[in-house]
Amino acid sequence: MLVRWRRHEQDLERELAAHVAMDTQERIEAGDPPETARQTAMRDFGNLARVTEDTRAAWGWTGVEQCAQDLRYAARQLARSPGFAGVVITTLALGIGATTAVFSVLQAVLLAPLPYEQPGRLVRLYQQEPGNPSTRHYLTGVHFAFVRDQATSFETVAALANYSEKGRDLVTNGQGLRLRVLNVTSDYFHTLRSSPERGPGFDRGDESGARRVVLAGALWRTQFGGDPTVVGRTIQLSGESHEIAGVAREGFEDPIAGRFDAWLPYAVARDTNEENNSLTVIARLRAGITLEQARAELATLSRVMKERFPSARRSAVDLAPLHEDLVAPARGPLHLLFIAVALVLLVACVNVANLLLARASGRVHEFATRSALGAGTRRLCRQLLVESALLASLGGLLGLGITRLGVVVLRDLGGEAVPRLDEVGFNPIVLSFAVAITTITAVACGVAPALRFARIAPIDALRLHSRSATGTRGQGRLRSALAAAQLALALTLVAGAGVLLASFYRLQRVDLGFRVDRVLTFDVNLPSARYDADRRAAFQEELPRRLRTIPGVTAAGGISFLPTTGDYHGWNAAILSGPRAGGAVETKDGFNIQQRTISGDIFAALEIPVLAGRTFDAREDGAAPRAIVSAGFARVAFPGVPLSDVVGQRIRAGGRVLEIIGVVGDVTLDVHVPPALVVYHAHRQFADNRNWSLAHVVAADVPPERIASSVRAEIAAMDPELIVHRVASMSEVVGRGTRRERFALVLMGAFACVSWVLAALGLYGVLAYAVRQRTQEIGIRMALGATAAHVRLTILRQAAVVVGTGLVVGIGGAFLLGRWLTSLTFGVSPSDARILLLAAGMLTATALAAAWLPARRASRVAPRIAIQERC
Amino acid sequence: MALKQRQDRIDVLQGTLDMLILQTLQWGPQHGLRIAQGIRQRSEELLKIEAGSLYPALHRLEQQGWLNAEWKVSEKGQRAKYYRLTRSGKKQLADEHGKWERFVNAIRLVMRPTEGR
Repeated sequence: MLVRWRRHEQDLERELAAHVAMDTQERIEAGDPPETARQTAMRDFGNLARVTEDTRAAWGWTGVEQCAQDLRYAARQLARSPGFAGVVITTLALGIGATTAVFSVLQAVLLAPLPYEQPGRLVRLYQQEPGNPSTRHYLTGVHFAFVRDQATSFETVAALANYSEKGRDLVTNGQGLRLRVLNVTSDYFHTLRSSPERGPGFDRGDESGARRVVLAGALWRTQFGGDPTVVGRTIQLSGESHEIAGVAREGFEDPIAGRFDAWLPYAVARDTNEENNSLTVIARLRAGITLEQARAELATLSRVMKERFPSARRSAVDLAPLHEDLVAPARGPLHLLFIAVALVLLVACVNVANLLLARASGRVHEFATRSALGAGTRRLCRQLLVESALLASLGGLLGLGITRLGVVVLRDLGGEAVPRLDEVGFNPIVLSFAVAITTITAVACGVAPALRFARIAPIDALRLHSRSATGTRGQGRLRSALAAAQLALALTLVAGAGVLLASFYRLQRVDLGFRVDRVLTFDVNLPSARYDADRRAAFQEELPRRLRTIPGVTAAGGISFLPTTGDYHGWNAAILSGPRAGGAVETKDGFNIQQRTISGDIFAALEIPVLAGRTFDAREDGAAPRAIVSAGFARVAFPGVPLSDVVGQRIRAGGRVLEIIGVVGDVTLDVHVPPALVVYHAHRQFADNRNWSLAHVVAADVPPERIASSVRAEIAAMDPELIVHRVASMSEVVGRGTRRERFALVLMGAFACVSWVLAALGLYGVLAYAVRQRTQEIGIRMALGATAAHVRLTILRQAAVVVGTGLVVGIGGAFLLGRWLTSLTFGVSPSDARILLLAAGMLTATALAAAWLPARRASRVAPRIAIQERC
Repeated sequence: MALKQRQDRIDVLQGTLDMLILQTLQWGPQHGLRIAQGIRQRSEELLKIEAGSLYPALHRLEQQGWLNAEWKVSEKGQRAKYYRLTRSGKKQLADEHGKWERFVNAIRLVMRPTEGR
């Protein structure tokens, strides 16, 4: 190809040379003097380079050749100004890299189908009041079994008990390992079309409490050496024998709760408590059945269910597509971030376009000369576009590196705030996206300078003095417009970040109702095989007593679920005395009477105030069950009764009649919503209900991490086989509740800062350039008597136009962005005028600073030097 | 500005230049300079073909297979690239000639003086 190309090239050269030579010869023969003959022949022939190029164009493949040439030329140009190239490439790399990183998250979380066969047919079932999705709740075991037996819209229906995290201890070779386990019903694996790779898995017979287990692929490999004969063998989990029923496929994860080490059968046959909404239910639609058909069938079934089960009086079963259900909470933040990062890319593009424009101005002469030598307008435009394409490609390449880093950061920040983050990574779609935005970036950056030069007539550019030629009014306007656009985009982002910041601040200031500082929490699970109800009751009281003896510890206690970790055990409660005796405590959603089982001095440890009566103590022996209620509960269940008289009233909850012995302050279950109503049970009176795995709370007057090792030692002294896990400070636990907001805030803040800096640089660049161009004019003005202040004012006025336009457009942009902010704000309106004004003020101040330097330089121009500095 | 005008003329001549070249080569292989001179002389100096349009046209016609080119020594002993009409080139010439005749006739009909005025 290249050889043939060279031959063609030489051939053409010789052909054209021959033309001129023959013409000259003929003119000499006709009597012209040799020099004139040659000159006439040359003039007649015209622009040799142009003819050569036009002829080559007839071959049809010059495009490639010219591009290669342009590319070589562009590379040389960039190599000559490495500083400029570095700034541009870094700016673009940041923009492209960040955008691609956010896109890769968006793609994996929102766009990619769930990693199961025919994922579109997977749905999640809910129990809720008809037509009121805000009352969505888990299903009870009884209602689950009813739906599974009756509904025909589904191939299979399965329940998983991910409601509270469960674990089992596996001891191999004397090494204890805490396994994360999930209890599931028999059709679980089949519903997800992920039947265990080895072994039969679970069957209906297992649902009455069989001790069988399906191991995760990774656990099987690491703990059982990948032994294929493991199926059927018996292993000890928390001291109980379990038969291995199968090994799950390598990499199989639960769509909702993620990675597990093992799956156990859920004893749905024994789950007869009609009040216990605790099962997450998934189902696979039968082929050909639409969501609407399935929904209609569930509505019909719900009516039957209501008649059959009094507990289902107010609830219906509804469904949602599983994918939608999983990603819905992340949709708002991810869309917002994508918009934000796209705006950053836009600011970066504008900055680069401005830089290219400024640079191209310095090259007017070069272009005029090339044009005069026969380069066509299209050719020159292409040259500029090739240059910006080269810059964008290099930026894109570097950007991919930044994407890799960005994904790591996003995963870290996203943590539990965003589902499916593990699936984020490089794939063809992400790569195509990166290529696409690189191309768009190249065009967006290159088109402005290219358009400017398409219209320059070489003769004008060559004739005019270089400085005045570059200072065309149109170009100044274009650059000012670009700077204004940057300011507008930056204001949009800064205002958005401001709203998130204010909202986050509000969240932090929410009165949680309990102490957060210097509180350590941890879980310790008591294996049922070794701990019966009495031993559990004794242990859970003994442990806080022992922890209390550690130096620095002020109080310790246990609770079935920590505040701010969500709602659990929302049982109904009946009122047996007082003005509403015979009624039930009803809240908006009907499920929300939270039940907590506690031990030790939990109220003291969390500093929850005791408003009336007393807390549990040694008087709570087996005989008369007693309860402590939250102030909110007392007000709803015993309206008008003074708190001191609530003590002594009776209620029924958790299947027991309880005498109230105390009223305590409200605590929040979720920082976003008002505190719920809570009934506290004494663990020592309730240990036989189930193996409550209490979270322990240790308040200290020293930093919590300092007492962690003493806590472990104390537990080891009580029972060396127990495993302490989920050790965290209370502030970490509370922080988990606001992780989504923190994720959005940190990224939005970073994007806002980047665009802010770029906008300031952009404005500075435009003004500094304008001052340099007008040095001479300013000199003359000053020579004629203009004061320094006057000159400064002139420059600042130019800045004011840019800034003013930018701010007005930016405020509009902030209002538009507000749409995506609403899902993340708390107690703050996205269009809060104070935040907008503050953001605008901050940008104005920055803009003033950016404008002040050039203005000052202008006012210090020495007239004589400025006028002399003509060339 | 001169550049601009020449470009305009090429556009106007685009279709016919090919035909003129093919016509000129009817009488035997010829090199570029001679083709340009031939057209100029036969048009009694009315048509002046610029190198800038001639060579692209020659190369385009060669690409389309209507012309063959080979290097030969001219009558004056200089090496030059000679273009020769191919068989399909002859057919193309006949085609274009016919089209041109019809075109000129049509224009003449439209432009004839109106009778009775």
